[in-house]
Order: sequence, then C-alpha cells, then structure tokens
Amino acid sequence: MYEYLTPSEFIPVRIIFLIAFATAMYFFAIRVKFLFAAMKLGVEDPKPRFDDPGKRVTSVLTFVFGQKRVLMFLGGIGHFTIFWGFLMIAFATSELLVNAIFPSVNFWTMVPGFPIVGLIVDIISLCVIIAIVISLIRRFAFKPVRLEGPKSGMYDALIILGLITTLIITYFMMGGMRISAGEINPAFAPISNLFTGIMPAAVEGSVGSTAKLVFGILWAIHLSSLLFFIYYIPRSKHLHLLGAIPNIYLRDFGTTGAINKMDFEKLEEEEAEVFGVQEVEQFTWKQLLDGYACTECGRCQEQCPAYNTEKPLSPKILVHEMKEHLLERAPVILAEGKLDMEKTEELKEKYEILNKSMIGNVFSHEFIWSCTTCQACQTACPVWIEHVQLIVDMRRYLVLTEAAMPSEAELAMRNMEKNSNPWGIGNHKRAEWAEGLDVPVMSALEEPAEYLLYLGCSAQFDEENKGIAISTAKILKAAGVNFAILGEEEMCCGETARRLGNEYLSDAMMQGNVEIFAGYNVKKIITVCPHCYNTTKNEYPQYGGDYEVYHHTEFIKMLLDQNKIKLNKKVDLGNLVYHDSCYLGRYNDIYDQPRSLIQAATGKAPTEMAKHHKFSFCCGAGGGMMWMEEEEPRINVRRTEMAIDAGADTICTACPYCRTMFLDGVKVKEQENIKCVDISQVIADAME
Amino acid sequence: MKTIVLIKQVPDTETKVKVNPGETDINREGINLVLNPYDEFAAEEAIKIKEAKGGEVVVCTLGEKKAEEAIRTALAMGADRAIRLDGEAFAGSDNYATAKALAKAIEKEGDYDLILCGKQAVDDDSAQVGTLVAEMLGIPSASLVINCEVGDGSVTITREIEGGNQELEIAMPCLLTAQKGLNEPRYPSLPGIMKAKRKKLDVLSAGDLGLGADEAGAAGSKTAIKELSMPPERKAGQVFEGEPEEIVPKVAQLLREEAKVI
Amino acid sequence: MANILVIAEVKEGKLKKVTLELLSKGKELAAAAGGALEGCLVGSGVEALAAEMGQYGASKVYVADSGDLADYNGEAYANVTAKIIQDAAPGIVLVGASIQGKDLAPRLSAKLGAGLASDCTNISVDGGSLVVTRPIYAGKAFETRTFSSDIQIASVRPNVLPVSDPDAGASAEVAKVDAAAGDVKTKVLKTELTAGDKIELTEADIIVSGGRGMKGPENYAMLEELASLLNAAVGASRAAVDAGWRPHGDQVGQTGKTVNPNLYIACGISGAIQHLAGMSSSKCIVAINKDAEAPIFKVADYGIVGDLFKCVPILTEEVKKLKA
Repeated sequence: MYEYLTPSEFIPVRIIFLIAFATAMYFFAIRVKFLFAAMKLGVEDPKPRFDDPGKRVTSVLTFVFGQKRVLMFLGGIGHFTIFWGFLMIAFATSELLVNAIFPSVNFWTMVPGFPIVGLIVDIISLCVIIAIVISLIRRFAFKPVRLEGPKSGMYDALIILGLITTLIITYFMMGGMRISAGEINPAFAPISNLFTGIMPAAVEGSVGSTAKLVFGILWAIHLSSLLFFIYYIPRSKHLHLLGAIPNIYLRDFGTTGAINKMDFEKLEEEEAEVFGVQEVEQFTWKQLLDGYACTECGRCQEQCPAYNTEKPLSPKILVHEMKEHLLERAPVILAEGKLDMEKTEELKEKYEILNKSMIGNVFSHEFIWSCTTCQACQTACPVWIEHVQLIVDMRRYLVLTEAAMPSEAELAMRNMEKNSNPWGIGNHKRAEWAEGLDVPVMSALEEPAEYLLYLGCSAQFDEENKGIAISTAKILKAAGVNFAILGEEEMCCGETARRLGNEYLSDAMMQGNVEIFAGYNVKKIITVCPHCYNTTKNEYPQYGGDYEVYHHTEFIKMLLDQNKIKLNKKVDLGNLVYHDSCYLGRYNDIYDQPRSLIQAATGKAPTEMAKHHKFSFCCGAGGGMMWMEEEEPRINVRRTEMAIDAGADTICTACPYCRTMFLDGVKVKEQENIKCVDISQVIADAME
Repeated sequence: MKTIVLIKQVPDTETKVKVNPGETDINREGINLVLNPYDEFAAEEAIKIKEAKGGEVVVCTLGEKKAEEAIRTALAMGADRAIRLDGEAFAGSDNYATAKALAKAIEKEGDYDLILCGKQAVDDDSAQVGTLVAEMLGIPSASLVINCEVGDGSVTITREIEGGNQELEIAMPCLLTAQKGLNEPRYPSLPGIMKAKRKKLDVLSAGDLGLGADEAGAAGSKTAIKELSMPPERKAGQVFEGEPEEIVPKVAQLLREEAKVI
Repeated sequence: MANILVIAEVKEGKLKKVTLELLSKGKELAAAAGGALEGCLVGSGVEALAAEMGQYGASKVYVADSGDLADYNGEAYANVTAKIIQDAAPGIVLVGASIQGKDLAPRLSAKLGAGLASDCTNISVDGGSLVVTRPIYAGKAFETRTFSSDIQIASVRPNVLPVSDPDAGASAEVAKVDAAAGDVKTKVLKTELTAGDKIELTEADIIVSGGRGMKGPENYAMLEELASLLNAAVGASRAAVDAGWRPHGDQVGQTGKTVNPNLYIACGISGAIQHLAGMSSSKCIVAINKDAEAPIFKVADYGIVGDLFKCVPILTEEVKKLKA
C-alpha cells in the first residue's frame, strides 16, 4: 500500500538522493577531519583523560543522556526535551533514509515494536515544538543574561531551531498522509493524525495525484533538511552535538583545584622562548576540544562575577572566541606547518589572520585580568569545560614571557619574592600575633607536632584578620591538639602567584614549602585560609608533598563531634548569613561543616543569601584580584548587597580574603553595623 | 653607546636588622638580599637608553659570589654582561676604597659614555660611591636624577634639589645617580631570566685592576667602622582617650619634644 | 689639633639652619680640642653672611662670591670649595647633609683624598680625630665610624644638633678667595622651585592623610590647612579616593603610593592592611579616629581616640602656637 507515497520508487529520485546523501556525508567528513586536525594542533594535555573507561562511560550517560548539569537550571528542561526529541526524530527519520534507498522498507510494519517508538516520537515531537516556542519567547522577550553576547550564535540557533521545526512539521504532515494511506496505525501517531484531515488524502492507484506530489515535496524538504543538518552541524555552534560527548568522556576527574604544573627544567632544556599560551595552538588539544563542546548556552556567563559586574570578561566569549580563532588559524598551520615568530612575519601578507595574535587581539589584557578563578563557570558548564586553566595559561604568557601585568599585580609579586607575602611586610613579623599566647612553634619543639597549623599571610599580617589566627590557635589549644605553627619560618603558599600566572615564582615557593614541611616531617596540616587549603591539599602533591589537609571548619567540626571542645553558650549574632568561599565550596565541596558549626554556636542555621552553595557568588578576591584595583561596580560590593538583601546582621565567612572583601563592602554600603566574622571567631566566642 | 651600571646587593628594606654587640656588621643570618632598589632604577634607565640608542650595558659590582644574584637580576632585566670585583684584598673597604676599585674597573673597561648608579645603597645609606667614582675618573656627575635625555655628546637631566628641580646639561662621559621617580623598573621576564644565566660575567681581583696593596680594602680606606649599635627600641604606641581639648595638645607636645617631628 | 671648617649653605640669601647647627657644634668641638673654627661661604652675594657666621663662632670665613655661583652647580662649587679647603688646611670639615651638602661632600672627599661619613647624627673629636655616629639601614641601626685621613669630612643631618645663641659682639675675619670655577662640564639650564605648589606625597617629610571618616570632600580643607602649616603633603585612603573625594594620585597604600615620611597623621582612617602596607614604615604615626578598636591604633605611635572634626582644629591651633 505504502508505495503509493514513496517517491523513491522512482529510480531517478533514488539516484538524486544518493548523490545528495553522499555529498552531505562528504562535506561532513571533510569538516570533521579538519576539526580533528585542528584540535590535534594543541599540545599534550597533562591530565589523565583516558583512564578508567567505566567511570567515563557512566559520566557520558549521566551528563549527556541524563543531561544532569543542563537540568541544574529550570531552562534545562527545554534543552532536555529538544535533545531527546531530536534523538528520537533522528531515529524515526532513519526509516525514511533507509526507505529512500530501499523503497520496500517500512519500519512500522516490518520492525516489531516500532509503532511504540513512533508513538513516543509523535508525542515528544509536539513537546519539542512547545519547547522551541517557549525557548524563543524566553530568548526574545526575557533576554536572559546567559544569552547576551555575539549575535552569530543567535542566528545559528534560529537556523537550527528552524530546521528542527521543519523536520517535525514535515514529519507530522507526512505521518498524517501515511495514516490516510493506511501505512501507519493512527493509534500510534495521535499528533500526526491531527494532520490527516488537513492533508490531501492518498487515493489508491492515483499515480501522479496531488497527494503523491505533496508527499514528494514534503519528503524532499524533510530529507534535505536532514542532509543540510548533517552538513551544517560541524560548521555551526551545534558542533557541540559532536564535541560534547567526547568532551564529557575526557573530562577531568581529578580535583578541579589543581592548576597544571609547568616543567621549567624541560622548558630550559628546550631553550623555550615562549612560556604560557600566546597563540591558540599552544593550548592543549583537550582545551581546544572544549571549544568544540561549547554550545554558547551562557550558563557560565550567567554565573560569572566579573561578567555580572560589567567587566570585559565573559567565560562564554572566552571559549567561543578561542574556537573561532582556532578555526581561522588552523588552516594556515595545517598548510604551512608550525608557526614560529619568524615564519609568522613572513606569512603575514599571505594570510590576514596572522596579523591577529590571540593575546591582545582576540583576548584583551583586561579580559584576561578580570577573572577571579572562582570556577562558577566550570561548575555551571553542562559539558565540563575547564575555563580557569585557559585564563591562567594566558596569564602565564603575559607574566612570564612579556612581564606585562597590572602594576598592582607586579607589586604583589615583587613583595612575595622578597618577603614571601603579597604586602611585602617583613616576614619576621609573621608570627607577631602569637606573642604572649603561648602558641607552639615547630622549631622550638623537640619532636615535631602532629599537626602543622599553617595560617597563611592574611590571618597573620592583616591586623583585621589576626583574630582568625588567634581564635583558631585558642580552639586547638583548648582541644588539646598536638599542633604547632612555623612562625617566622612560614612562607606564603604560592597560591596567589600561581593564579596570577607567575608560575616561575609559585614553583619556587611551593618547592620551598614542601622542603620546609619535610624538615618537620609534616603529615597533617590545618589551614584557616581556603586558598592555602586548596593549594597544600591539591597542588602540593605535584611537588611531592602529600598531606592530610584540613580546613579549620572541617577540623573544628571534628573536634566538636568528638567532644574535644565544648560550646558553653549560644552566641547571638542576629540574622547571620554564611558566605561560601569559592575555594572551600566549589573547589573542595565543603558546604556542611561550616553551616553545622554555625548552627551549633548560634542555635540556628545560617540564613542563605540569594546565591549560595555551589552557585555562591565570589567575594572578588580570588585569582590574585585581592591585590588589584577593580573597576566599579565591584564584585565585593555586589556580594555585600546580597547579604544586605538577605537582612544580614552578621556576615560569617570561612576565608580571610572573603572577610576583608566584606569588611570593605559594608563600609562602602555604609552598613558598618553589619558584623563580619570568621567561623573560628564565632566558635571561640561560644566556647567562653 | 656603552653604559656602565654600578650596583650593590643589599638586605631587603623590610629585613629585620640585628646587631651583635661589638661587631662591625649586622647579623646576616637568614637575611634576604636583593638588588639595591635605587640601582634598579639605574639599570632600568641604562636598558631603556640601550633600547632607544643601541649599544651595550655593562653591570659592575664589588661583592662576594652571592652578589651574583643581584647581577643576574640586572642581566635578566636586559643588561648585557657583568663584572664582579672580589677578593680578600677588598675586605674592609669603605666608600672611598670601594669607589677606587670601581673606578679602576671602569677605566679598565674603557670606552664608556655613561655611568649610572643608585643615589645610595639602602644598607649603609651613604650616598657617596657614585659621585666619588665620577670624581676619581675625572668626569662630571649629577646626583638625584629624576629624568634623563641622552643627546649628542651630552645628557640633559633633571635632578631633585631642595624644594624643586634643577635642569642640567652635562657633557658625556658622565655619571648620574638615580633617584626614585626616574622610571619604573621592569619586572624581568622569564626568557630574560633564562638568558641572564648564560650572559658573560667576569670576576676581577685587586691585582687584575692594578690596585696597590695600600689602595684597596681597609688599607685603601679613609674611614672605618668602630662598632654598630641598635637604636633605642621604638616605644609602644600611646593611645589617648578623653577630652580633645586635653589630649590633642598633649600629643602635639609629644610630637615636638619626644618624637621631634614638628 | 687642626682647625674645623664649616661649609655654609645659603638659601634665598640666608644661611640655612643646618649651617648654624654646624657652627654651634664646631665651636664646641674646636674649643674642646684647642683648634680654630672657620667658615666657608660659596655663592653669589653671600659675603654679608660672613658676619653672621662670626656671631655663631667662626673666627675666619673664606668667601668665594661670584655671579657664576648663583645656582648650585656641583662641579663648580666643588672646584671652588676644594681650593678653599686646600688653602685653609683644616683637619675636620663639616657640611650639612642636605641635598646640596650630600652632593658636594663626596666630590670634596675624592678631590682631597679625605675620608667622609654621610648623614651623621652625632659627631665628636677623639684625640684630634673625628668620630661620628650615623644611622644605617634607614635608622634600624647605627654605626660609629672613625677616620684615618688627614682631612676628615662629615655631613651632618639637619635638625639633630642644637643651635647655640649667637654672640652679637663676635666677628669673623673675611678672606676673599678666587671664585673661578675652572673647567666646568655641567651647565645649569634652569632651576624650578615648587615651593607653594603641592608637595609630592612620596617626597614629603610629613603627610596628613584622610580616610572615610572625613565624610566628604569639603572637609579636606581642614587637613590642607594643617598640612600647609607643617609643610606637609595631603594623602588619602583608598576609601576616600573610591568615594571620589580625592584624586587617585593622592592614594596611599598597596594599590596607591608607598610613603615613609617622618610623620604621618592619619585622620579618620581605620587602617585596612591595604593602607598600612603603604605607610607603616613612616617614622612616626599619629592616628585620629573615633573607633578605639580601629587597627590603625596598632601601628600608631600616638593615638587620639576622638572625633576628628574636633581634634584636627585643635591640633592645627597647637601647631600654629609651636611654629610661632
């Protein structure tokens, strides 16, 4: 019966289809080959990317097919629907593809159970149409932050959504006609059945009839759309359909807290002239793949503290422009071979693109220096792109190769070089806070203490934050913990230098610290600063320093659970909001201990600000921004406003930098009645 | 154009200075040594001149092996090569003997157009050596230079004077001592640091310079340190609370009589 | 013992105070050691000042007076002064450790093969030879230095030695000497005095600084008045600059200017570390703040807990009295 409607029963149609199909596949293949070659221009990636296939497959199932990260946000339901709808339609449409070559094939009648699939496709297709309509309304009527940015993405999206809509509408129309021709049981195609009455009815034996003509046209539109899709995907932002799966498979399973280490010995041997990433092909192949995986969904941008305070940085633009630039530049390298400075000069006339160096042209210095490394972008990214390393790699180029950094950053670096703290205060003043407190110092002990209390620069040099060091030491003493500080021997952990891109400096600092720690046989470390915490815990292993590291909130919680400390009173701090530090929360997943300590000390759970837990909003100090002057509007002021909006009487932090930023924020907002306290101070108070 | 930069390695200004009684040097244990910050201005200026006019920049210091770290800093910034004067013969040199040795080394090097150095080293704070070297070489000099334009056969400079500035034109060769404000010293790049490790560094002794036994070190010095001492400890801060009419005049008086600052 | 020669410094037709300090000390040393105190005057139209030097104890003053010496030119002054020293043949030469004196002294040291100690805060004579004490490491330590040369030069820090009362009856023999500077390769193109203009923060000996506690830009007039009395520069904290009350160039701190004046008066500044990092090496810090808990009091030598709008005017009045 169905042959009434099948255009492919005409041999010329079949031949034309085959040619069209082969052409589409050919263009698809050469593009994919090019994309692969372009990606391979990247350098070796230092992280394990292929280990443990089991967990990687699970990860793909969770994040690609389960769309776990897409569904973190409400808007994700739309994508989920379109994604699955598209997969189903593609599957259903495969029938038409096979049928186009073998006219006698009909899945509906030949494949058992296919009508069930057909039913699902039929219904989900309607959902897709609804999702598309909603997404268009959202995009144009509400203009969400995350979709701000280059218009090219918007046109791309419109083309793709148009194509999907065309596929679905033609599918419904053809379905309706096939129902009237008796090819499909209307019970399994309720939506298509709605079109049955509208479409010209198929009449048996009516070769050349209107129905046949109309069906032929729909068939041609449907299949051309599909073939165009095949051609178009790798050439549009919907490249992510191809990029996302491998990117999620290859994602970093290690801690997100560790920045890649540079091997200076090797670089010196190679007599390297460029350090860090100046040109796009100096990124690793995996970083380039990140570009292919990006959908420009903008969830990163929506979370980014820099973008949300009118800074030039957008993590979406970062990844998008990196990809665009790669795709422009790769053909030159693929044709001419590796480009060095000399060769680039020679070829500049021949290739316009070579006049455009990535740093300075694609990404401005201001763009690169706006990042607080807070990782909100990475946490929001549905396809596991690693933005922060991209920024640090480019900062490395600026600092190490060009020595081009904001003057305040340079000053902080010089200070760290000379006095091992970003303020440049004499390091002999590091332990002045401990005078008269009888805090054990490693060098004065016969046997090294079990725990090293590593306090870091802020809690020891900043008059305002010395209270954190004092409270923590008091708590540990009260609990009878066998601990000691390093005193004047303590050096800066190197975190700031590293995030500022000065790997040469941080390398020396980290090596030095691992040696100092080894001198006291340090195995366990307690830190009060999440930056020290992250670095000693996640980055020192790169230098052979493997320690059991505790943030003071973790450790104090332990002491409390073990009844080693007693809270003698409830501290009344009014309405207390807790601010999740990026390096504690997002970086190291510590959310509960601070909250339960607050609960224990004040008798009630902290109030949550508009943004909290893994989507906490950075205080503005990370990534070395603590030492730089930020243009207004400032991140710390924005965050303070969130605390004020939550009705805070007290802002409780677990990071000295955050505390400094809030102290400044409440002054700017002239809300100095709002107290800013560290958790250790609250606990020490409750113990009195 | 050849510029010679005289440098010194000194303890960082934030260093805690400790003096052992009866000794003629501070306790150097655990001290962080850096390139004298004023010499950094001198090095920067020399490199800027080289970048604009071509030529070379030679760094020269009198100091122990450890001072090579300071030399490498200047080389990393962009100086071309270095000379270090070392040896027992130089022990106990005062500013005069130091200047004599440096002047001899510069004469040996010869063919220079400009000599630059910091206005003073932040360890002994003497502010002498640069000017002494110029006089010993018989060339003109200017101290406290905050701007420098190299012309044809002469330099036009601005130097700080009390309550203002003075603009001078000085025939080359000449020596200038750098004051803060002359420039912003660059942060050495890593390629610069790597290259610095391979740059030429000559070590010369008093003998190599042709200095007689009575011209170098303690024997060639005109002054000697008898001993070092520590200043009286900075008194703990005094905080006054009460009626402004009472406490403010009290503080004003203390500023006059105790602190002697107004 | 040999004589002591004080090299005078003249500013705007007057002897600088440091010259009087040197004469006072020189007179004492010469009397103790049995030598004569002599003076040296170089400049243009300076001859009349010899009498004043006499009143402060100089028995003889060598005067090189010439229109060519109107502006300080180190090369010319050194040539003329060295000749005077050679003629006068003193054992000890004292010069003020002013900018001019510190430029001149090493020139003389080299020309005469004389030992020199700079920026001394105390000088004495032991067995006919000079012994000086001088700060090193920015005052974190002191050294005592002895001399072995025939001529011994010390440049002495201004304002540390007292000025004794002049003897109106005393006079000095005036010896006019050749004022020809000889072959000079340095040409003074121009001299610009910025007196009256704003004093550079980084160069100021005294800084009066205001922070958020100033409440508004209009209130800085109060600090400016105090500053002009003290010949001080006016600084600001980051908060005041952020608020737009003061220009960015006035900001003291980690992201502004690093200063180390002799006196830093912080008004309404709480003392965030970003500010302290830029000024804590000041020799003397005065803090005026209404919050007794403010961290600025931790670094202050003298803290005044109180309303700056009351305290600053009183301080201004006190300074006026002291300066009168």
